[in-house]
Amino acid sequence: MNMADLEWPMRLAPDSPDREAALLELRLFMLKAVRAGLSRGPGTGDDFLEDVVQTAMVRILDHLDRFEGRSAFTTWAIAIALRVAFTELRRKHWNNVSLDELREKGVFLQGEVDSGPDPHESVARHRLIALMRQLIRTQLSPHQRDMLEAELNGMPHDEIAVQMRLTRNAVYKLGHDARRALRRELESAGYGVEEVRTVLGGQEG
Amino acid sequence: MTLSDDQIRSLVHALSITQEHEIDCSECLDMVAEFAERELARRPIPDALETVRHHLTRCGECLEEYQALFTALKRMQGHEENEDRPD
Repeated sequence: MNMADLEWPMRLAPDSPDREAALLELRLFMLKAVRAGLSRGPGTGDDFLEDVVQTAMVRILDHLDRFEGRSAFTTWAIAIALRVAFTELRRKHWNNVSLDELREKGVFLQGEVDSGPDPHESVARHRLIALMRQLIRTQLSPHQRDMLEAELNGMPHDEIAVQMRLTRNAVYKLGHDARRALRRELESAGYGVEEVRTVLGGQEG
Repeated sequence: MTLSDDQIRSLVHALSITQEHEIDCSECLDMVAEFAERELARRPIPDALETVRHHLTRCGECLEEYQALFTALKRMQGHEENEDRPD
């Protein structure tokens, strides 16, 4: 950690005589950096950037003690600001779209039900997919199924968290627990990692 | 729940890279700044930071934020280099 990175938390401390100057300096730097990171995407005008940086500044000041000096202070700050920015952009994008509405409109999970092997699909692959369907039905909790369903339909974790009244971390954990449970069951059924890769033909998801 | 075959395949692929212990999005945020700086400078990634790389393969939101961070750092670095360059 260089001297400037050590100095930032001290300069931003409530009792620092240099606080106002440090706040202004950080704010201007973050505006420039967040603008550079977002590449002028839709909905990222000046008002949006100002709001993002304002929210990020509050978060940074509240969490100064979490800066451990493993990176430059400004890099740490930009990472926080970009999380604020993307969380807000996703919220706007998915606003007014609920899991229930998607289901009702039939946008969600227009899936093929087990209808016999696709002629272009190997029997082994079909068996694996059928087993997966069965495991999802029998081994996951309703919450885990809802989470997976939303995730596989492209809904971001931020929005799933809002709709399921969880935190983003809790959504990730829910998904991780579901994946671990399914993986264990797959392994019990004789499908190890290599077997799965072979059956799927090296598909990258 | 009815999932399409493609969705099931995506899920099975996700299972194939699932690890017993994975960091969550907050832990990723705590470490992603160092990870991005090392990637930008092409410095080695220590084992402890490989958990970030793995999380980014599983979490689309953290990946999107990381890519923006990387872009920002790269552009800011280029900007600084231009400012330092004598006329």
